Amino acid sequence: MIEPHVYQAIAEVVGPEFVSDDPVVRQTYSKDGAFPAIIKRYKKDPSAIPDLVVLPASTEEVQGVVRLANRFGLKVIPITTGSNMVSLCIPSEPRTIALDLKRMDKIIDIDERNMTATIQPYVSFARIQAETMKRGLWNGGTPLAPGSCGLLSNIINSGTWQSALAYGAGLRSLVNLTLVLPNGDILRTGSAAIPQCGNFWCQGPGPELKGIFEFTNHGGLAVIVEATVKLHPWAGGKWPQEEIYNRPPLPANHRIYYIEYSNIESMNEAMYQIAHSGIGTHLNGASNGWVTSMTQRTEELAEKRWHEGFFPKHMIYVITAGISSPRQLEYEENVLKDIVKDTGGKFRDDLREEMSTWHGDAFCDGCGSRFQRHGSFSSMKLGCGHIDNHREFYERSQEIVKRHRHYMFDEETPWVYIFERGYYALFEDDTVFDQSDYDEVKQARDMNIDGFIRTPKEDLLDLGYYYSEPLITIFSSMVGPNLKHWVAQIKRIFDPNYTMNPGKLISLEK
Amino acid sequence: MSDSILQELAAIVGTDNASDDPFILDEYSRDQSFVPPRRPNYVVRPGKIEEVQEVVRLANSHTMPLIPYSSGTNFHGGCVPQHGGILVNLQRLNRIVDIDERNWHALIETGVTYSQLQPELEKRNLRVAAPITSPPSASVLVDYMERNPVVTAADFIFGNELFSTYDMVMPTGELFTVGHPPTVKARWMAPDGPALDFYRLFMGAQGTLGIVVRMAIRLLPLPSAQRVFFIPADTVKQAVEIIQRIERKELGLECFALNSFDLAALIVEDPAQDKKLRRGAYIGNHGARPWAAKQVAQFKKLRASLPPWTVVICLTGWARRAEEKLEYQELDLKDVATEFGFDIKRNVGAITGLDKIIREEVILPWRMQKRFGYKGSCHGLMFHARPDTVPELEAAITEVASKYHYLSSDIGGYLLPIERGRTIYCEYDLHCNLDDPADSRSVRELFEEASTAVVDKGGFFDRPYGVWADIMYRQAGTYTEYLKKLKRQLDPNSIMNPGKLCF
Repeated sequence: MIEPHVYQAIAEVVGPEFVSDDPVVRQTYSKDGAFPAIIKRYKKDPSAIPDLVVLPASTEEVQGVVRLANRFGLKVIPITTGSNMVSLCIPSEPRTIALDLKRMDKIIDIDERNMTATIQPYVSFARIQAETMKRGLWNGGTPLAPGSCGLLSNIINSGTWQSALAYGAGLRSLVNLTLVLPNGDILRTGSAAIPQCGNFWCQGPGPELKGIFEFTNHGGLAVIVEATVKLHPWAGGKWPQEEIYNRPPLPANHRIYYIEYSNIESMNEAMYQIAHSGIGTHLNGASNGWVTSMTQRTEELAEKRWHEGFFPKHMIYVITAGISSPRQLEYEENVLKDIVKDTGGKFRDDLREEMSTWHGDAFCDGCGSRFQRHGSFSSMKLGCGHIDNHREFYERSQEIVKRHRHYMFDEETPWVYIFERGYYALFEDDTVFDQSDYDEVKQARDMNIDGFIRTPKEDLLDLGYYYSEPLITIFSSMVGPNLKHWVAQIKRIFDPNYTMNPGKLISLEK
Repeated sequence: MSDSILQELAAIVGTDNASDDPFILDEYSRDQSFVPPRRPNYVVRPGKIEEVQEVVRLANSHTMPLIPYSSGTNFHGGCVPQHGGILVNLQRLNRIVDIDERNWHALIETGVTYSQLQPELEKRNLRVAAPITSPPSASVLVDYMERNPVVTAADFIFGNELFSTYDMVMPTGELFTVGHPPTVKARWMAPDGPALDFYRLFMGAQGTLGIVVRMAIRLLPLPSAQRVFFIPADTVKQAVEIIQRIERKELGLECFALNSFDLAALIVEDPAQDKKLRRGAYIGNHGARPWAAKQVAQFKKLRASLPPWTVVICLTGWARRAEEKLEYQELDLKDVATEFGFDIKRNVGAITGLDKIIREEVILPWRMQKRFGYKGSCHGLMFHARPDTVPELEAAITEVASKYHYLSSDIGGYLLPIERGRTIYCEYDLHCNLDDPADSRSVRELFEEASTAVVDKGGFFDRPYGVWADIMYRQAGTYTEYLKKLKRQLDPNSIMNPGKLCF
């Protein structure tokens, strides 16, 4: 319950039409596709519903709202496009404001010469790609999520893009941030910290404060109101053509290869060799279950293809780009053919037609929307490792499938991302489930938690396993006994009144 | 040994590795920069990580400053003990713990140098990316922590943050592993986490937030084939434009530009100092021995034969179809040159063997040390700039130089594109003879005034050593305020290298 005078003060900052305590409006901010929010909904837990929804339009309005929140003891959860899949924007304490940033939707600048874009929080992947591709640039892809997903919040949460082979993990894409701290101060990072230097370089001066707001911060320290992100050369020309958006041709100056392997070991060897040869922008490992769910146009067709084992059990795909010229495409194809021959792979050009939706998803839209046809899905990020660890992740995945009811990925390998020319890889399995079936939700949740890491479930169930604190507890023994202490100290410095997204980063002693 | 602190230090690291001998302390009191010298009270040389932890705990108990010191190749005052204290020389912590050929990683301690590591890697067909301006005796780990840009900086993956995890002794003495916590048997993966990106916070900290003792660095393959091309440019503006045209096509691995001073310094011969140069022992804490008149004359003749700027681009092929890659990239490079109207050459200034010199330098650099011998000391203005502002920044430096009657031809110039030319790392060097008080004073004043001019025009000292710290932090109000708050929390007794940055 927000007192009338507090409501009035906030309304004076953002305008009365952009603040609401209407229960119907508020309830829409209590839902996402992940277990913590779903479980709370089934339990009719009112803490999931914010007390107020506020839509600021500017940095100054965000400052005004967080200052009032601090003054009146309210909590603030920043929300961008609402496509968070792990309940990071679901309240967990009373007197919470859902700070919806959708009115902050401007692409402030695209610096073509220096290959950067400066954006506000609500700018989506689709928008940044549409605008940058016109200029011969792109941001590197999407996180296998709908194009409506917010670029800024995805990067901050360590988003993973298809071109991670050539352009790295999402967090490598960030130049600078402009943040509103809980006391209303503005903090600019990197070269933007010095007004006349401008917004071009990401490190320093001296220690880099940007790191504190990255990775699993989850809006727990500040509201990010502006970010400058890196762009890369785009060789694909005008793309996609609107009229055939769902099945676009491959962009110009790009080639895609599907390669089947008979076992994980030879697949791993091929992935090492491709990554270490320096070719390609995209390199992933996939399996029948993954490919059917990502590429088929209907749920029925996906199930049919899955049951008949239409796609290979062990498959990699590679995308190459002719960034300097078409000669690059020829050279890289020659190298790839050598590797495939040496590692016993088989090109599957015959899959191109069935995979045609992927020609768009690999660059632009993302298959998240197709994944969710079953109602909901949750990512079971098995973890990062070396490419050779693929076998261990596969076996872990198999163990989990045996212990739990499985949904789609029986006897499949995890989805594999190869990062940064093979320095490491990410292995992921997902569960799909129907939110309207509580038993199915619980089974999927248990399976998912089991897949994430072997840890006491009671630490994870209600908090949500993507929240930082349980992970900090788990990892403290590995990385240094006082990790929790260091994180809590940083939280105290930036957010002493525990205003920002409580419970998601770390809990402070009252 | 009557000093009780010295006795306590000796009990940790051994009597031979703890000293308060004034002669030894003097050696650590200064470097060749303009930062005023000051002796530490003690010097210790721990040989194990546990010993570093014990020394940190001891310093806390006595509230005594600690100054981490690795290879002695910081030429900007970073290890000068501004408040005395215990200088922790980490040269004995020099183990190459592991080389993972399969996953292109090496686990190294702080004291491991390029000249120590590179030969071991070459046996395995790998290499470490080094800054072309670092001596072979420099610490790999500290160069990476201090963000000294490596010669492969133009590449997005092989150019920046070339490590996956590191171990740091926190100001409390606790050992903290920064990076992605392992969930399987993988030992090194990504630097992110745990929880927050701590790794960024501790980089560029000049030892003020802890002592990094071990790092899993990322390696590159050794080239199977290389082709070096030189592109002369009349102005810095033209050099930057050429760099950006080439980098937009993602061509080549190493790319940089040198002005005639720096290129001449790179190739001028100094056979009498050859061994010292190759060992990385050319530059001492009072600079280098100034060149003899004959060598200065040889250098000036060479400099006059070179174009004002030379862009160097190195095409690199790895294990598979290396020559084929060089063929297509050379054709693509020629296409870019034709389109934008510049010449690509296999040599410049008719220098014999220049191609070979560059191919060696990009793998294990040592020749750039020679520039310190022009007058005995070299004071680099090292900053990042937006590409389009580089000409204006160079003009600002030369304008200040002319005020001090410093010849613009005596300013060394090095440009390094970062991430395909998104940013240009610039290093403009000023030279003086430290034994000549008038020359030294004049160049110091020029250095300080030019530093201010660089920042006023938008140049950014991301590693704010010496006077740059004041220039930068007084303009970065909120950033500075929160750095200080963090420092107070992480290092409550303010023992870690006090007086540096804004601390």
